Amino acid sequence: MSTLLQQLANGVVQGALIALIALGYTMVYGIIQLINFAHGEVFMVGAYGGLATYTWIVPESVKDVWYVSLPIVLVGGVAVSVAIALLMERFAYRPLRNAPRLAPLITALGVSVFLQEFVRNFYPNATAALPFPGVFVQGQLVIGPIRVGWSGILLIGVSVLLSIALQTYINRSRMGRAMRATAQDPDTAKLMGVNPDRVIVLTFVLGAALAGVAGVLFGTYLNNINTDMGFQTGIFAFTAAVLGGVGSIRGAVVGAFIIGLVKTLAGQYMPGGTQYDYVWIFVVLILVLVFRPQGLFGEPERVRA
Amino acid sequence: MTTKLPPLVLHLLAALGCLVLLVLLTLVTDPFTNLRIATVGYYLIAVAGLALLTGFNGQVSLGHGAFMFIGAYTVALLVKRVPAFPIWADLLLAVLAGGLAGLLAGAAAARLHGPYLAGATLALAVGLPAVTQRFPDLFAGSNGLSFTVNSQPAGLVGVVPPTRWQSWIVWLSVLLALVVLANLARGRLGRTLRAVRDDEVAASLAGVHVGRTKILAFLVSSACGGLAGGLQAFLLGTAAPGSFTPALSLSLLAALVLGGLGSLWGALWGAIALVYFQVWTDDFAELLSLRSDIADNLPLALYGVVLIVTVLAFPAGIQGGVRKLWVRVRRPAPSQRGES
Repeated sequence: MSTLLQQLANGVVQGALIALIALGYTMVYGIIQLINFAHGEVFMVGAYGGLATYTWIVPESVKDVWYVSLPIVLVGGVAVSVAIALLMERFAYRPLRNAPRLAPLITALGVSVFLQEFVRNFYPNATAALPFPGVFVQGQLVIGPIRVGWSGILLIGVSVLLSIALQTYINRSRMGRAMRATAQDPDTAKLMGVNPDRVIVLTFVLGAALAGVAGVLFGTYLNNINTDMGFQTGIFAFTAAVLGGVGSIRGAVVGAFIIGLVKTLAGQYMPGGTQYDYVWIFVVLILVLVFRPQGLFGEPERVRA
Repeated sequence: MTTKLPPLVLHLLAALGCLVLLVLLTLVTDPFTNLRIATVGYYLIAVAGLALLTGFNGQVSLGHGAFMFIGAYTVALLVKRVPAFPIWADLLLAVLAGGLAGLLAGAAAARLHGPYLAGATLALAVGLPAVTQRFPDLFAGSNGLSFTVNSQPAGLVGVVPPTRWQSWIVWLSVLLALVVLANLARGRLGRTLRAVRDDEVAASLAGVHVGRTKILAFLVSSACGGLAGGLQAFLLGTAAPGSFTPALSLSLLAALVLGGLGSLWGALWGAIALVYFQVWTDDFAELLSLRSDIADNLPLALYGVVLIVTVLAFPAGIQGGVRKLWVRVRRPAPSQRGES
């Protein structure tokens, strides 16, 4: 029983992390129908950017004072993620906006491979996993049999807060309305005075900022980062976005928590252990898609004549 | 022009010509290059199968490595467990196994579109190789199965080097499969596939059974994937889960888009690019003579850049570029226009 509760808690932390990344996948797909395979890498460079900020920018005297160093590290990580996302949108995706639909998918793969290998080669000692500083309250929250690190609690809180903020922004603000309009019908949105380039750039910036936050918090939670983490977590996050219904903010978050829970519970209870967890995620995904081909919260396909 | 030969005869003749050319090519090159030529061969049939599914039928599969996995393990298990079967029977069964898996995947995926299909197929490619961990007795876990195939007829042992013989077998199978594919693509099936891709509603109004067509596309395409995997296992003498990562599936799609969707020629350029981009970036990194830790990883980073630059230069694929050039070459001079 206590193992079950503990694994549920771990699953929620995993889900919170995946949610932050899945939001980026789902927003970008909603606006330009691109599966941005490099988005996992944006998360990865966010973690490395945060580490670099901590190592070289945060003054020695405040390194242990988490409420000073954590905000600086977060800003550093987010800045790197956003910069990378802006560069790839400008140079790898925008030139292909009118190209065949699959062309930008392949440049996304190229960007993904390039970023992984670039960081591996040129970040000092990044060929192996690097330790990440615990820039938050150390120790664990203990509720009965459950123990969760405070950094895990932070991850859950930030993830939930940011998803609600994003949902509100998209539903209430002027730019949010422009985003929804572009997602529905880019040509009509353009006629109504929406600048599609600005909307697309904003989408990438928002997604990258969330991924950057996720990168830093992931490092704080697990205390080490490596260059493969983007691709692996990216696949989980993409699966979460598909499960929840691509284009839906709520769907991405719900999908992410389901994936997180399935991952930890299957790793604990199903035969085969953690190496086998993806098989169960696949089973869940297929079961959901058989009954709801548009994902849990996705809009049903409209048949256009 | 006098009477035209039927397409089947034309395709067979072309395949025969290609086979002769390739045999000549393997005769003048070293064993290492022979192996590379054979590698291009099995990637070609995998990418060509994907071209039918994704290019002709518009179903994006991010998990074609899964069918190669099935083909490879079919051959490996048959060679180990049923040594009495000749290699061609093993390969044929690999095709069947791949096709059967594709039938199941296609039936599950026929209702899915766009990112949902992509996600489901990607999940298949990530999940399936983990099965080897579950049944270590049968699949030998992450080490995979290794075996030796004695496919050479007794008279040829010692006369023809083994890699050369293997590359002949690979290309013979690939060309045969390509003839089948080319005929399917040219005929009724090719037309229905394209009709469904362009407009499902219009196709069904015209009497095309949309679901059945999509499943059929999956079946043919994954049978090709099964053959590719079987040939890979035959060539390398191993089948290990490490060769069938999601990266493989994504590279197959990358090769298809690089080469050009919508024609089997694109698959050829894509398969060549898939094998030779890595060779070239390796050579290039060696040329720069860097520290060894960087030199080991730089080729992959370069590969990423090459992928981006090529797609930016040829958004419609290499075949799209070739076709543009071809049109320019064949354009008749202004005075002759209308006469030909």
